[in-house]
Amino acid sequence: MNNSIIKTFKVVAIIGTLLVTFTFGGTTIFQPVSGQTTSGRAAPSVYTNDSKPYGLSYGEWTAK
Amino acid sequence: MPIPTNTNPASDNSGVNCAHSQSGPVWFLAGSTTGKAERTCVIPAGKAILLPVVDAECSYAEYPKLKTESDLRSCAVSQNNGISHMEATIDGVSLQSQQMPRVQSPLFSFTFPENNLFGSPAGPSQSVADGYYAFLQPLSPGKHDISFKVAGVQFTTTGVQSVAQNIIYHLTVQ
Repeated sequence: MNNSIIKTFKVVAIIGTLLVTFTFGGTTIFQPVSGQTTSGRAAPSVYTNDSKPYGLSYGEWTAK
Repeated sequence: MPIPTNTNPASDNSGVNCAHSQSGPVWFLAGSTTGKAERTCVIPAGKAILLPVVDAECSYAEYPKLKTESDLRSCAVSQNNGISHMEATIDGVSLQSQQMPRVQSPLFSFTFPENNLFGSPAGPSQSVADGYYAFLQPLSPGKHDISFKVAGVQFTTTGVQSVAQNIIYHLTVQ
């Protein structure tokens, strides 16, 4: 009888531990890798404001 | 501005005019004259992409009372001073505000065609543009989704009007 109670207690403890792990740890476990989209794509690269892509400033390109 | 309305990418709600007048290393996406558009376009691999999150311009042709470059610049800048919300995403990734800086053009020359976007008289003129732009390095070959939205009010020389824009591009880079 005592063995049965102990086994039941162990099962409940294990299930409880798993529930707590997935409930509070899930958001960390399943977050995508930083710098990637949810589709797994890398974040786009953007020219900086002070750069001169292909020899022209941002402002000069906007006049094209 | 130098493209007639019927073939202008800014008046296109499907993407059929996406490639009109594109040349050189940079591919220009367009705003919208109707405030809303969902466009599907194929662009060549290796092209940088200039994305006008929100922009405005003033020309002598549209505003004959403006007489100097400074007048044009003040006019263009004032149109965007009331923007209160702005966002752009590339494949679901939001751009940071510093990735879509506010930029002004130098004074530039162009020619309005007949039947132009703004209903201005056809002929040569000069303009200054102001806006928030994102300048993307070439995207990898494949499919990409770009969206940009703005909301706010626009201060023009004739009054104040609300502005809302929601544009989606489905790009295939190949």
